[in-house]
Amino acid sequence: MTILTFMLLVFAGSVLAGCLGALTGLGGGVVIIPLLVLLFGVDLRYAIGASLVAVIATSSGAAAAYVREGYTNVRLAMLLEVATTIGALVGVYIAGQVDSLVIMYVFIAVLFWSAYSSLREPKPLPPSDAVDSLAIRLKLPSTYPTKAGPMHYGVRHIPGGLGIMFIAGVLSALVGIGSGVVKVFAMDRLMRLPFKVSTTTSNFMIGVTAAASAAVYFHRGQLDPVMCGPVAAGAIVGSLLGTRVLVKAKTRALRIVFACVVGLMGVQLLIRALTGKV
Amino acid sequence: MAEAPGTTPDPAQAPDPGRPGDAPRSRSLELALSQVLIAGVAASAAIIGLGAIGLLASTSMNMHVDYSRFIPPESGSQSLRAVLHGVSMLDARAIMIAGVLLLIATPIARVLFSLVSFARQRDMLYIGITTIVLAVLAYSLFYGKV
Repeated sequence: MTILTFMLLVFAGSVLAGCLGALTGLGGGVVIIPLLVLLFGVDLRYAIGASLVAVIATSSGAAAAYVREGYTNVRLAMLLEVATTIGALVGVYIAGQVDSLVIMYVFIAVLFWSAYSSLREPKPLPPSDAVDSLAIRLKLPSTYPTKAGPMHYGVRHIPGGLGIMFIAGVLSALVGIGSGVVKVFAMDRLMRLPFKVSTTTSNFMIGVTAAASAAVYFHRGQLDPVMCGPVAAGAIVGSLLGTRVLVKAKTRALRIVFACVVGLMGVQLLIRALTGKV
Repeated sequence: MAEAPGTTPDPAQAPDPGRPGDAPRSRSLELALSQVLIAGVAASAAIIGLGAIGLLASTSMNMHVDYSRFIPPESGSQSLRAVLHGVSMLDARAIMIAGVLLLIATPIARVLFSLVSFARQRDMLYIGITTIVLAVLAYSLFYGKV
């Protein structure tokens, strides 16, 4: 493939990934890695580096809009980032020790989880009304905008949330993704935050988590300019489109498309991994 | 985990604008963080775009790229110093990587900005928490030898 074709196609694919990533809150990584590996025959190590860059781009571009709208819980994000960044240091260390094939299997598992979780209708749990004294001492309960005006919410199970966030950080650095699916799971299901607060706070944290391992990947030579440049620029454009233009789009249909695409990619990668072509 | 019956609020209830225990939401912090992020991604995209144009202008359009095999970099080539040197020589690849590194720095700048904001609010708890996050990020940069 010539350099111009490669850069243009990677750019176009990254716009799409950034758009979907911003829209679903699951990060662009689950789309970028299979795209590069399956369509462009890129080595997994380059793909992971490029994906981390895409993830930072998507997170930063989308967070700019969500923070302004007041959905993101900035204090909660900072607290949980202690766990995700320490997890990321552990993950990037593990990544240097294990075989590519192991990383590929972990990635495939995350793909299937992402597909499943985007298919599942986010059925809101009733917001927690129980008073959590730790949350209050940490100044975490807050309000978020609704059509009827600001709405109060509490925060529960902070130690458990920190534990899952540590795992999310390890995964993020190990396979080069945002781990949005894990972060949303922890905040929505365990910490009992409103869904919109969970997805936007997750998105906000993804950039810092990925930045904690990106420097190490740069040093290891996994950030190639010809690949990461178009990926970064494409994901930035895509995330801004995703938050501004598509904010009113039918997300239900998009989630089904996303699940099908990601699931299909997972199957293809699994076949490749099983036949030893990684 | 389960709440006592009857305490579950009706989703259709009137808005609840807050409780005494709620943390004050700082609109100015939210707006400032949003601006830091937008400035970071916009500058990064612009620098990468310039580098890409320079790269395509200076290489043969028929040049093929192949990433099917990972090639470990020469030692010393993956450092901030090497990138800045390349940028000063107007090397297109170095300019593109500089844009990518600026993008990586954007969330870190966001954390730094939060620290300033918490310091202004004299919020000692969150000054401490933010300092821990910055220390972990700094360790990663040091470990990565950027």
